Amino acid sequence: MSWTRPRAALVATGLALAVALAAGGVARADRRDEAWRRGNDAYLHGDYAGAVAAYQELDREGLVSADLYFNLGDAYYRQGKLGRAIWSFERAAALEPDDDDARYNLTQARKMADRRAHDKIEGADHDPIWMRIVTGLGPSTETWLFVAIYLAFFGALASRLLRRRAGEHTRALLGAAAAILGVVALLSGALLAGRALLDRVPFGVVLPDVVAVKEGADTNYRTSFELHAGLRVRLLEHDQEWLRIRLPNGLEGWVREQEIGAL
Amino acid sequence: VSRAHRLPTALLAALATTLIAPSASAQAPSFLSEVDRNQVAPGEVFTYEVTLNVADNRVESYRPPDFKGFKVVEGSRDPNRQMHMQIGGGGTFIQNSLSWRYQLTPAAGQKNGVIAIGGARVQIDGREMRSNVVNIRVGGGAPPPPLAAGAVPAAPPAAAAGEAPPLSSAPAGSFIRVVADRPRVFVGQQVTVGWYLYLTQRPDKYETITEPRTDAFWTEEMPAANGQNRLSLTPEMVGGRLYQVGALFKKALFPLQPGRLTISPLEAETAQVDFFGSAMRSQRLKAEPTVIEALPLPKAGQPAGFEPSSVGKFTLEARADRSAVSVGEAVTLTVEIKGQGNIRNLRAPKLPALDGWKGYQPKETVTIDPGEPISGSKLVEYLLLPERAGTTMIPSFELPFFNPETQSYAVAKSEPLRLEVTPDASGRDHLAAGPAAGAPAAAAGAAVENVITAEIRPIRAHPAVSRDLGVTFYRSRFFLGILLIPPFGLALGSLAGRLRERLGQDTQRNRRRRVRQMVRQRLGAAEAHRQAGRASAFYIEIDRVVRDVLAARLRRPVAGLRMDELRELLLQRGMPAAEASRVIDELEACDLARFAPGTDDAGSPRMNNALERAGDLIVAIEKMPLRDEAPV
Repeated sequence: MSWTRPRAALVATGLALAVALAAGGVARADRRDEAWRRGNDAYLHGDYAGAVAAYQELDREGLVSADLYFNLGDAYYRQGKLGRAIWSFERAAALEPDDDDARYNLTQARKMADRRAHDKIEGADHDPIWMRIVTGLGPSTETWLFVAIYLAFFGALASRLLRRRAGEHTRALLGAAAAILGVVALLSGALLAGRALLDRVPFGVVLPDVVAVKEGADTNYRTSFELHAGLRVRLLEHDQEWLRIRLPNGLEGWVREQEIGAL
Repeated sequence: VSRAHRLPTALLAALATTLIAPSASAQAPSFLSEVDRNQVAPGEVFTYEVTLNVADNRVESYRPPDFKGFKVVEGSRDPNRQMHMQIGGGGTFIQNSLSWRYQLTPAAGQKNGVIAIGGARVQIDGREMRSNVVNIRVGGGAPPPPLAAGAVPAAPPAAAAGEAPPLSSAPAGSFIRVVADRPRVFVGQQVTVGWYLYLTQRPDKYETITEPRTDAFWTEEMPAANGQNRLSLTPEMVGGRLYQVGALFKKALFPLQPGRLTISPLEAETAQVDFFGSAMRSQRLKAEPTVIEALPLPKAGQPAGFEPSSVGKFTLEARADRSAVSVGEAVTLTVEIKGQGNIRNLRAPKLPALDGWKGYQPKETVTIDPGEPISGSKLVEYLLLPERAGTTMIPSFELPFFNPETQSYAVAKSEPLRLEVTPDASGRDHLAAGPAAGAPAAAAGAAVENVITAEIRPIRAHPAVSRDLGVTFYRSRFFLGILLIPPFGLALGSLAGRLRERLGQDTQRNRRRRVRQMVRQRLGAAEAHRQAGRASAFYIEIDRVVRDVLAARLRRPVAGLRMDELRELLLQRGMPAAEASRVIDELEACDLARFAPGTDDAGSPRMNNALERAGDLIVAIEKMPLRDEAPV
C-alpha cells in the first residue's frame, strides 16, 4: 500500500496539532505547578496573603482540586478570615467527602467562628434524603463509578452480541451480567444525575464576619437580619450585584454578591 | 387626672359610643379637667385642659377655673369641638366633645407647695356641672437657667413622641412645621428635629414628595407616631384656629462639621379623594429650610487621642469572660461603651498588640435607645488565643470625649485586666528552644513545657498540584458526548452484524453478487498476468474463472469433469448446443495455450482476444436460463 501526498500531509498536520496541544498542556501544567509551589512557599514562610494570591490564581484558572481548596482554606484561616476559610474547606470536603483533614479543619474553623458569633437558625429544615445520599460520595467517585459500570454494561452487551456462535450457557451468563450491570449503571447514573441536580441548587457560605441581609437588592432597603461568617445558605436568584439567599428555615433576603462564596 | 389616664377613659368613651350606641344618647355627660404633669418648677409652663363630652344637650355659660396661684400664658376662649356620629342600631347617635386648653405657669412669688386648681363650670340643659379639682405641686424641679452669651442653649422640655411642642400662632392655611430642639450645638452634639403637619382639613391621602436632606449630619431615626404615608392626626387649636396635627418623622442629627448647616425642606402632598378613590383636591406643602449652627469643639484642654466623633457623655468598661485559661483556649475580651451621644459613630479604643496572644478581628455590636437624647451602648468583642503560658496585663482602655453639657473634655477609662495562662491540660512541655522574645520567662530551673495547641492541619506541599480529573471530566462538555459513544457503537456493531448475516445467506442474488466479485478478481489477475507476459498463468486464470462461473450457475462443482461430461451436463441443464460448444472450445483453447507456452508474447493480441472472449462468454453464461439439478 502506498501513501498519496495529500494523505501524508493530513497525517503530518494531525501529528503536529497533537504535539502542539500536548506542548500547550504541558506548558499550562508547568505554570500551574509553579503557582502552586509559590503559594506553598509563601505559606510556609508565613506570607499568608502571598499564599492566598497564588492559590487564587489557580482557582481563577478553573483548576478543580481538593488540595488547592484545602491549602487556600489554611491560608485564609491563618489570616483570620474565617468565613473564607470555611468556604474553602467546604469546597475541599465537597470534592472529597472522605478527606479527614479537610473535615477536621472545617470543624476547627467553624468552632473558631462560633466563638465570635453563632447564627442559631430556629426551625431549620434538614437537607432532603436524596441530597444526603448524593453528597455521601464525592463527585469524582460518582463520576468514575458510573463511567466504569456503564462501560462494563456495554462491554457485556457487545460480548454477547459478538459471540453469536458461543454456547447457550456462555450467552446466558453474559446476558445476566449485562442485566446486573445495567441495573447498577442505572443506580450510579441516578446518583450522578442527583449530583447534576444539586449543582443546579447552588449553596454558598457567608464570607465577612457580619453581613446585613436586606429586604431587597439595594443598600437603601431595610435590613431584615444579620448573618455571620461561615453560615451555609442557599442561593436563589442573582440580580446584578445582589444575591437572594434562603436560610435553612426558609427565611430569605438579599446580600451583596461578594459577601457570599458559592460552593 | 393626668394625661396618662386619659387614653383609657377616651377609649372607653369611644367604645361606649360605638358599641353601646342605643344607650349613648342616654349616657350622662362627662366633664373632666386634666394636666400634662402634676409637679412643676417655678417658671415652668404646663398644660391644663378641660373636656366636656355630651350628646345633643344644650351647653352654655362655660366658666374656667380661677387659676389662683398660676399665670395663664395662653388660653382658648372658644372650645375645640369634635363631633362623633354613629348611624345604625335603630337610630343616629351623636356625641359632641368640647375642650378648652390653657398654658399655665406658677405665678411670680408663688411659694412651693401644693396648689389646687378648682373645677371649671358649665350649664348643660340648664343644669350646672363642675369639673374635677386638680392638684399641682410647685417646686422640686429647677427652672431653666438663663442663657449665657455664646453658650449652647439647653433643650426645651421634651414633647411626647409624635407630639409637637405648643405653637402660639400659625399661618392661615395648612403648613409643615419643623421643630429643632436647639438652634446651636457643638459639632457631634445631638440636635433633635421633628417634622409636623398642620392641616386645616383632614386629608384622605398623604404622600411625602421630597424628604429633607441632612447631608452635613450623622442621622439617627427616632420613632414618630406615624409610619410612612400613614397619618395619625389629632386636633389642636393654634391661634384660635383648629388644626389637624400629625407628626411625620423625627431625627436625631449630629453635625459633622462646624458652620451654618442647612436641612433642606420637606415637601409633601395631601389630597381629598372621591367615592371611587380618585384625588379630588390636592395640596402641596413645603417646609422652610432649617438652619442649625454647629460650633467647633474647643481646642483648649483637648486630650491626646481625642476623636471628633466622641461627643456626649460616656462610660467605659473592659472585661474578660475568664481570667485564667489554658494555652489554646479562647478568651473573649469585651470593651463596652455606654452613654449618650452618637454611639454608632463612636470609634472604640483599640486593643494594643499582646505578646504571646493571637488576636482576631473584633466584632462590634451597637444597641441604640432612640429616646431623647439618643443613648445606647457599643460592645467590642475581641477573640484572643493564648499561645504561651504566663501572665498578661491588658492595659486600661481610654476614651477621651467632649461633654457638651459641661462644655469640657473628660476621659472614660476602664480598669486594667490580668489574664493568667496555664499550660494546656495535655501537660506537654514548652517549646524546647525556650520562649519566644517577650514571652514570660520560665521559672529558673523549672522544666520547660512545649505546648502544642490544637490547630488546623498543615497544607499539602506536594511539588505539583493535583487535579480532580473526575470532576473536570464530569463538568466538561464532552462528558455527555463520550457517554453516547458506547450505545451508538453497540447499535452500529449490531447493524453491521445483521447486514453481514444477511449478505452471507445463499440466495440467487447473493450468489450472483459473489460470482461477479469473483469474476472481477480473476479477470483482474488474468489482466495482470497478460501484462507481465505470464501466458500460462493467464490461461489458468481464464480457465478457472469460466469453470467457477459455470459451477455457480449449475450449483455444483465442475472442476473434475472431462470436456464431454461437461458438455453433457450443460446440455442437460438447458444450455443451447452452440453455447455449450462455445464454452468447451474456450476451455480447450485455454488448455492448449497453457501447455504450449512461449508462443505468446506479453500483451499479444491473442491473449487480448482470449480475455475479451472470456468476458463475453461469462456474460452469456450469466444471462442464460439454466435449470436446477433434477432431484435424485
